[in-house]
Amino acid sequence: MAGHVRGGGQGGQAGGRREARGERPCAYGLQCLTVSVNRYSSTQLHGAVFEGIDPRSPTPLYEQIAARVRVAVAAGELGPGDALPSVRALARELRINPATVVQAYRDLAIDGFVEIRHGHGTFVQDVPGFVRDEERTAQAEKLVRKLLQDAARLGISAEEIADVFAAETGVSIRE
Amino acid sequence: MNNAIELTDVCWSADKGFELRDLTLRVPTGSIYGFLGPNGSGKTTTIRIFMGMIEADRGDVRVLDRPVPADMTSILARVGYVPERPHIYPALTVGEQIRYHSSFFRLWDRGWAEELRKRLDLDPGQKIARLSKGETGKLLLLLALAQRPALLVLDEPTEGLDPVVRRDVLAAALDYVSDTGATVFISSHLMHELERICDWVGVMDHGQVVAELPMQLFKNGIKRLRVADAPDAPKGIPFTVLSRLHENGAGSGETWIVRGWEPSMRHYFDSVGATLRDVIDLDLEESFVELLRSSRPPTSGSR
Repeated sequence: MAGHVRGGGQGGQAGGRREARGERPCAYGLQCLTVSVNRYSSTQLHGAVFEGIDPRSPTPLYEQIAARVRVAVAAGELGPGDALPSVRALARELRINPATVVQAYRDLAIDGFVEIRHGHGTFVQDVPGFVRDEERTAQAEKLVRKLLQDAARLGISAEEIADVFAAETGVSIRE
Repeated sequence: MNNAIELTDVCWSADKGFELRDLTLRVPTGSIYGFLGPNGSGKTTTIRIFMGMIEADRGDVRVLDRPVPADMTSILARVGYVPERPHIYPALTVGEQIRYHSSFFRLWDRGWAEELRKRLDLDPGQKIARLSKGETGKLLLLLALAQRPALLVLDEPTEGLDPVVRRDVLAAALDYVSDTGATVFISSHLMHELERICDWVGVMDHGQVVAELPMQLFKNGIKRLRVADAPDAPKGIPFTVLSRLHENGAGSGETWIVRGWEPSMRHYFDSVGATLRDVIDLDLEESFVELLRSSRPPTSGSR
């Protein structure tokens, strides 16, 4: 589960992503779509942005997709003007309903994260720094809640978690 | 037109005792509708009824807003159908079969058929009899798609296909839906596949539709609850309790499987003096199994 919330963002992968951004849609490895468009089986979006989307999760797929984009924007992996994959390409890659992708993109547009230019594609907006910070905080909260919930199921207290956290990171969260 | 397929109070019975009873089914236009049910629950019979291959004893059947079987000819011109068992001629080659099939459809898209043939890697000179199962599956989908249907009906389209072919077949179908907004009705046992692509779910059991609702509601509505100190006969429950089991070991712990759950309903347990310890999410397969377990009358000896 931990693997599919990429809240941190400043890890090793993010650096490579940033470098790739100079060439625009590359952020998803989408260039290979145009190269190998004549064979279904070889169309892969290698990008980490949508990796591990989990249809079995109770979180609706459109929310998962939208969350991935928000996280990538907050982490700087996606910047202003970057193109999201087309509805068709993403639906095919994730093997999901195109309507699900449309809904995710619409929600992102309502939140001001992307702009849908009809007939052209969906592009990342210039998201203000404080919105990106809020998003990072929201993701951190989500991670911690999930951790505490899982811990409660195992009968592990918040104090025990805090001690392990301190030992792992050197950052103490207890008085 | 709100529904691409509509069955209302349909009854049908076979000699050997199998029957569909008061079957009502609504497939919203533009949806990707997953049709689930155990073997022998009546899925293929239902499909055969709305495809006009057998006639209902009673009830109303409409496809693409036209009555079945009265308007079957014009309906079939707009429905792409991949049947459970292939209906192609072993003696023909792939190319011949495509040409033969195309002659039945006015909207047949020859250019696209050719493009699909290349993408799906089918050799036009290959004899049908010598196709592998995967190639046959791809050819059937090609035939269904190239007629540019408003409704695509897939009966176990990927059953027995290897994962690579399954992806190719689904990708081709999804591409078509992206471009056209066509409705897809898909019957399958492969839950994880349906969980990805479907936005509606219909569940059949014993010749009846036991649930029909948006995928998200279906999945999120059925939960496993861990409850303590629950009264034996609690009143005013805001959700449906499908089953209730005592947990092993000491104490008053119970596991409830419930339907129609919403997060705000946690408060209910306080009001009856019980404790809700945990709410556990179920995936499509688990939800499906729990639903069927509860929709069946208890038989002695089970559990």
